[in-house]
Amino acid sequence: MTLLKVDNVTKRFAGLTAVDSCSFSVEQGAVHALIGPNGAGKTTMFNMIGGALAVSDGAINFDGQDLAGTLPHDRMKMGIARTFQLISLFKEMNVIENVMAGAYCRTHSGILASMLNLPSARREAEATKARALELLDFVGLGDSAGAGLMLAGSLSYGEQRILEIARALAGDPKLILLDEPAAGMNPTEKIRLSDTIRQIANKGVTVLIVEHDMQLVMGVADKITVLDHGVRIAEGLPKDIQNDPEVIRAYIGEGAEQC
Amino acid sequence: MQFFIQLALGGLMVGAIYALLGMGYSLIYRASGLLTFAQGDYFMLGAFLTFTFSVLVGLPFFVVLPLVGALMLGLGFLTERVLIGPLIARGSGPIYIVLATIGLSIFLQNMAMIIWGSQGFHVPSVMGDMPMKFGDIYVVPQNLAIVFITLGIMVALHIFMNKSKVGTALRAAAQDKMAAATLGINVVFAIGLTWGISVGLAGIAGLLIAPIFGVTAHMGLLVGLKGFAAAVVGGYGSIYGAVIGGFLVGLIEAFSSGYIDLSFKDVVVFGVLLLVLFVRPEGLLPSPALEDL
Amino acid sequence: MGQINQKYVLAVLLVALVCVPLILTNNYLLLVATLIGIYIIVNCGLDIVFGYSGQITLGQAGFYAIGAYSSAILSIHTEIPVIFCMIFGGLLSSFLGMLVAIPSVKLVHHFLAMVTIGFGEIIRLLAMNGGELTGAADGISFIPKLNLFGYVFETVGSYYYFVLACVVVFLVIKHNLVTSRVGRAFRSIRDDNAAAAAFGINVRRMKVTAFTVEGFFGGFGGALYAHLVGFISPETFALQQSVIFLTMVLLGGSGTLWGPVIGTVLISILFEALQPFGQVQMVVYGLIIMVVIMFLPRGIAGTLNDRFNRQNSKKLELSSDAS
Repeated sequence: MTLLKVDNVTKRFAGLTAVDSCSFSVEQGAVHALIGPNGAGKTTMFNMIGGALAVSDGAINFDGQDLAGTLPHDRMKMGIARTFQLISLFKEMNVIENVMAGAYCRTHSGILASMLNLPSARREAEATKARALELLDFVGLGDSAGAGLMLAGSLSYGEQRILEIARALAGDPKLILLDEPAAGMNPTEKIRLSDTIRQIANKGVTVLIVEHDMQLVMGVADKITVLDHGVRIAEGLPKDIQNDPEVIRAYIGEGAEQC
Repeated sequence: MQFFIQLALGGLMVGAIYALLGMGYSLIYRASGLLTFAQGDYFMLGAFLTFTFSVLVGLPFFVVLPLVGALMLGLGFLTERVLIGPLIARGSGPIYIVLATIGLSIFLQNMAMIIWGSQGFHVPSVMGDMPMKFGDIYVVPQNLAIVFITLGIMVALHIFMNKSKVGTALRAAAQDKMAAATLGINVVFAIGLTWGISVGLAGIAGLLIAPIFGVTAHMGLLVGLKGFAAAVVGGYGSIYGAVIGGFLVGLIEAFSSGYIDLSFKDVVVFGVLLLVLFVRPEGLLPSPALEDL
Repeated sequence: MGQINQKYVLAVLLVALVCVPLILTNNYLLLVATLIGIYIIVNCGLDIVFGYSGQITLGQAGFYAIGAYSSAILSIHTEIPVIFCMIFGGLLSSFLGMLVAIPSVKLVHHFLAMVTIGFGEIIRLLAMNGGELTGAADGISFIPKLNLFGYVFETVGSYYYFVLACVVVFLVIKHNLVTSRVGRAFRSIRDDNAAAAAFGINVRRMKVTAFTVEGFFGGFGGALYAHLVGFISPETFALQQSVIFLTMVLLGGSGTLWGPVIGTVLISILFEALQPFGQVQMVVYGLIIMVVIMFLPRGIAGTLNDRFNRQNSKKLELSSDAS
């Protein structure tokens, strides 16, 4: 079953076309990777799916609904959660609270119930907290005692990236967008990350990932879409992509330019 | 009709004062990307220095004018170097820097009260206090002088910013600090100087208004807010916009005090300020229509 | 362990506070203590907007004035019991806070500062020009005392206990709020606007909510003040008052439960001590703001918290190394 369908989507910024009539579909429960050289339009595509940017042309369909005109917080409610390329944790809040904040749109306590700490609010807060601890365990941030009470800003870089994933999962999404989750991670952390990504998919949450680390992508993805200069140049299984001459040219071309 | 013209003249006069302050707000915004709450207090300080030099010391006006201008310029430069610059350098958030300028404002206002006391002082105008008569209309010469001096300052500022080497450096530093630095411009000095000019403008405004409104330690608060209103109405960050905004605010104030009620003129001005901020925060003037400094 | 300790400290503190009127026989000092309580309530509201939601606000004196004037006017001209007048004052202030916040929250820091200043000034000018209703520059006098179930809070000593009870209630409310789902939403806007929006938090609505809460705290504080001193006039509610409130929060440590309390107490004591020196008071306020922002941007409570957190994370690193 197709969960996300990107249909002929174009994005233009004042004369520059960042994404050019690009189409692909993400299957329910799959780990789908979006790769391409720098400036290929991957992050732009992510921002259009997440709702931070509007599409110039074309349509994005999620879970049978057209996303046109919906704002980021609507999309969160519909079941799209994301992590950020530039870490965007709530730095002055502790680790558990960050995850709990991710569950905002799945919880309901209003201002009065919160101020008076009514039983309904208390029950909900306890449930949210229990779920947050569960998620921290799931992503592997739950082991050292008391770590949950540390401020998010004081975690190591790799841990912060992982915490972003836990926070995104707290909203019970159907689709999770991971924007370069391995950036800045050491090799051990990367191995744990691919493991976590597989487990997320096993739980039935579809993963769409943008990542530069090819080893990680090849190991974790079910399907890969390759963008170059805003155009889709290839799509298929990891082993096909690895041998695709078009893809190799795009990457080597970029390397040559950099020299 | 006579009443109308009288009001309009009064409005243009206070408008010119707001314009001088407004230009300062806009210059500072361009140089440091923030708002200072101390403009009104520098305006007050300018008036007190004028009082001190011309009444207490008895210096002639043509000495007092450059002296006040230079002192205020130095004070503005110092403010940036000692308070604002270090805060920006250590990465304080804009919310804190804005608060620091509020602290500065309180400090200056009350220091003035300690030094000069809280009563008002009169400063005689060099042009005499007797109004001139044109037909049915009476004009105090100082009023006219204020309007013309403001316009003169605006032209001078324009020429300085566009034609002089230092002015070009200031504009470059305000636009892109990194690029300006690689071109060999002393950005630190340029930003400091921009603050100096802004504070200097406020000081000159205080000097000009002293013979008309008198001098008190509290004179800065409302004028400072209205100068800000001028900058907002004209499009925050635009120098010419601030001048037009200043005259606009002055006229609105004069007509509302004349046709509604004197005591409501401040409420009307703040009402207009809030309305502009709510409805058109980018200012009332179509921005592309104003080719800026 | 920490929790139990904290409970003991709080209990001792509360007992001490209950004993204050027994020790302080000087009526003036008791009045100061009661005022400190009122300021704490106002500053807790301010902190919800400034410290927890990261929005600048300088209209606190405006809320304070709305609460004071509306409660005073209502209690003088109607038969409504004073306690309901006070609550009405809080609610009206809260409502006006919401009305101002709706168009304001899209503005960035310095413009928001200006709008809130403009709001405060408009309220003060309206009080100044309100004719007979507000008593113009003369203000309102002979504001009735609080009367609860037939007991009239005639003396400052008795009113002190009422204010103390209110302080406890408002601190509990603040604590509940900032640690709740809504409080997390406030703090997430402060820490990262865009990420908060991506997680389904309606940023503008949250800011409006924060201002609405602030309005209630400030308005209720104002009403408490009006029925304490029995006389109000516009000069009490000048911009200067808003700045004093903000200084208290800033020095104590914004975005913490106890920061505003510490700041309020310290600054109130400091200024009572500086009272004989007149204008020097305000000069010191100005200096404190600048110095705190320069050298102690997180205030007293915030700096202590930081130190505590740092020690904690060091301990954690050690223990994970050992394992």
